[in-house]
Order: sequence, then C-alpha cells, then structure tokens
Amino acid sequence: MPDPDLADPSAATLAVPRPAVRWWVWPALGWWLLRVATAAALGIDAVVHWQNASAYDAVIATITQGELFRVEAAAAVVTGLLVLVRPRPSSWVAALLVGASALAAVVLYRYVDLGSLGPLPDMYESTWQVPGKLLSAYAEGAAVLLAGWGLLTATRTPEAVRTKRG
Amino acid sequence: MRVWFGSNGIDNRGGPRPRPVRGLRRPLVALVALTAAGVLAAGCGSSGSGSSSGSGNSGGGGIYGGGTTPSTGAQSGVATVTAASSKLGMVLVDGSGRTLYLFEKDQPNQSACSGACAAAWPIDQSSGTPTAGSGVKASLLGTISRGDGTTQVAYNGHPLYYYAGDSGPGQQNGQGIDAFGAKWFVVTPAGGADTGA
Repeated sequence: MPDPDLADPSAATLAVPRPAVRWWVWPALGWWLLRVATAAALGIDAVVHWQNASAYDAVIATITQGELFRVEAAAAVVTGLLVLVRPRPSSWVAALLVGASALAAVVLYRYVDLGSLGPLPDMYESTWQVPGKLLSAYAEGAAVLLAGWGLLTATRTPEAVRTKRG
Repeated sequence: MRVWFGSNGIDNRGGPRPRPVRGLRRPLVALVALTAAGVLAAGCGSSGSGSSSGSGNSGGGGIYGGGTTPSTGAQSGVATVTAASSKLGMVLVDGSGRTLYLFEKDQPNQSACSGACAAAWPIDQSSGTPTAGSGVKASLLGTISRGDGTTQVAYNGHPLYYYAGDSGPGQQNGQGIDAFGAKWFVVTPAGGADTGA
C-alpha cells in the first residue's frame, strides 16, 4: 500500500509541525543513562571496598583480604570509567565480570565457610552487619544487570542508533 | 534480535511520523534508570542497622552504608559491666543489659578491631575505671587504650564489644559469628569465651 504522504505531495505541506524535542533523541539519552547508572553502581562498590579494606588487612594468607578489597575497588573504578568513556562490548564485559565476581564472592563467603584457598585468605563472614556490605552487594547486582543490558545493546544495536541525537 | 529502546535506525525525518507503537518502547529507558535507582536506594535503606555505643570508632554514613546509628547502650561515661542470665547461660552485659562480646583475634589487652570492624562491633567505651556489677569479678575488669585515644572496657584481658545486630538488651545475635577474620563470642563471668561447647 503506497504511503499516503508520498503519494500525495500536498498532504506533506499540510502536516502538523513536529514537536521541538524529536523522538529520536531518546536512544542517545537512554544509552547515556545506562552507562552512568552502571558506573554509579560500580562506584558504590568501589567506595565500600576501599573504605572497608583496612579493617581486613589482618585477614591474611599469601595476600590479605584488605588487598583484595583494594584490587576490587580499583577494578570497579576502571571498568566504570570504561563504560563511560569507551562503551564498547569489551568494556561492558569487563564491568559485567567485575560486578559478577564481587557479587558471587560476597554471597559465597557469607554462607559458605571455604577456609583458606591457596593464596586467598579465609574470607568467611557469617553476617551482613558490616557497614556498606549489603549496599555494595545490591550495587554489584545492579551493575551485573545494567552491564548485561549494555553488552546486549552494544553488540546488537548499530552504533548509529545508540548515539543518534537527530 | 533488537535490543535497543526506540529507534529502528532508519532516519525517516522526511517520511511519516513514527507509529505510536514505537513510542511504547521508550519508557524502557526510564524503567532501566528507575530500576537501578530503586535497587541502590533499597541498598542504602537496608544496610544500616543495629546500634553503636562509644563514639570513637563508628564506621561512616551516607552512601557508604550508615552502618551504625546511635545506640541505647553504654555511652561515654563510666561503664558498668554486670552478669546476667541468658539462654546461653550467665554472660556479661552492660549497665542497660546489652550483651558484650569478645573477639578471638584480639591479643590480651589489645584490640584487633577498628574501622569498619568497630562500626559493626562497637567498643564498650568508658571514660574511667568501669564499675563491676553483680556476678562480675572486679579484679578481672579493666580498660585498654586504643590507638585513637579512646578507652575500651576489658575483662580478663579481653577488650569488650557490642554487636550492631543486637537491637536491645537480652539479645545475643552476635554469638558465634565469624567476621573480620575470627569468631565473636559472649563472655562468661569467669572471663572466657562462651563457645557453646
């Protein structure tokens, strides 16, 4: 069926004016929101781990739990920045891995006493009553979901669409 | 599979306006943001709990987690330690009946708990020589000086702590918890850990 607008040139001249904000602005805005939200979630994870690290320096095997916390904080900051400034699939994969590994670790060591594992210290902690621990777990969960969404978007949507602003 | 929210990638500015069904996808943008915000807000709201006595080692607040709130337990001032009957037997409590704990990682008269640890396990602070209540051996009761200048009550050489997960007198929610590298136990009037064994 022919497009009536094209079939009848006079109809285009009678069209209602478009609104000031064009509808294709939204993909770019959503893309930014996704990146900012992911970076924010990873940022919360980083702050909590960094601030709590010193309390875990005495939990030691080859390396200390405090050192692992600082590595986690640094990884969260780096991957958060990556999804902000370089939102390629590899960046989303990195953010997904950082969030997922941290979430898996905090849940695992909350409920399972694994003891020391090679260079890893005994990080079993049978409580959520540690400042920021639950908050950081929620943030890690959010980072996983958001980074997964970002990865799907980055791999299955053309860049021209993600960044389209009209 | 299409993943993105709104556009089909075709620049149709010169063509017909998009059909309304495309607009239905746009709320997903807001949904993502709101979901993230909601999850994070839930985390903020649920991470802070418990109580804190002593002002020397609270852990922090804001997005950091607000791990502690002012407590109903012993505040700055001269602390009292007494013995009380509980489901675990006779245990040490403070003047208001809140359970006191020891940390297995501590060395005699030396605390290994600070920072986030002391926010989760607030110290039993005293501004002077603590008062021995009924059932407590005054000879075992003393204090230690912490690195931050505060004074912590000790019993038989064990620095004493509260647990942020105890919301009031008579609770022993911290009993047997493994945290910060070692276990936490209630303290018997004899001056040892009540491990339940």
